[in-house]
Amino acid sequence: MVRMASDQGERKKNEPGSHIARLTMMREPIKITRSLGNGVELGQRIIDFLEVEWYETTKSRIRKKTMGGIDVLVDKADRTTFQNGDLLFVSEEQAIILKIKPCDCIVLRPTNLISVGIICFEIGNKHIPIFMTEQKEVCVAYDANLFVMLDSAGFQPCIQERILFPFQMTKAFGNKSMR
Amino acid sequence: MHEISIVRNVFQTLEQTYPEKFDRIVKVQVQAGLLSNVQPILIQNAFEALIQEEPSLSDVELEVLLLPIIAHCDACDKDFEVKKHRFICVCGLPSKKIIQGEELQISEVQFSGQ
Repeated sequence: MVRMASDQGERKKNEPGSHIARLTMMREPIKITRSLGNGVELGQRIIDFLEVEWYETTKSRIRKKTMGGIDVLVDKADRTTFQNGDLLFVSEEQAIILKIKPCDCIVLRPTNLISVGIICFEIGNKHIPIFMTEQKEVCVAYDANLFVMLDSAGFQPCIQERILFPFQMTKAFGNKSMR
Repeated sequence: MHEISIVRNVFQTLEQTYPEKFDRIVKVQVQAGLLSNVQPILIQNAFEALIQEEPSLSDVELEVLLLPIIAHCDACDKDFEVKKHRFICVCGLPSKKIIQGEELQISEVQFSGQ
């Protein structure tokens, strides 16, 4: 059973003194329902970034602050996946762009197709998505138990900080919607 | 692989803990240690699937926070963060005395004001 942390913080939205209440009083969050494109020309607009973890790009609802301190609410109309660099908001003065945070990854460099198959099978058995890079590497988000398994099987995994791009993601099912 | 049941369990726990205001929950934060054998992407996807089943949860945000691994060095009597899977203290001695990293817990719940 998933327990409650003993110091679990319970906050009430709009309650005086709460973090959210202060922000709400200042300004309603900018609502984002979809990506407005990628690589869009933004002219002289001030660029702000909404930083997310790689595993948050599939989320349908995110409430966060941008790096510039603007409160945003992502409430996707559909279940599409955001990509790094997606334009989320644009006005005459500013634009908000999605930025995926780098994270520790297990990087594997299989030397032949059989190794690729075995590695992807072992990782896929855990339903964990893999990321195939242009350098023919197999990347997967760091997981201590997976690292031990791959290391003991002799695949010589290394750990590097990378950005996991959703368009490189392959998972056990539903890959069509990721691209 | 057991993420669906974990997510269900999270909301069952919240319903039991907050029977009066369960329907006012707007955000739930879950902490998962890097040794907990739980993948945040699978938790997120499981939650998205649960929303399809329970549309009343569509206004709830589930945030997964990964907790780094912290070990304790008996020689230094200090805690240190395990980086790049190196369970070695700055003094050079290895340690597998885990202080943090195996948790899976609800760490924060936010409610709407209404």
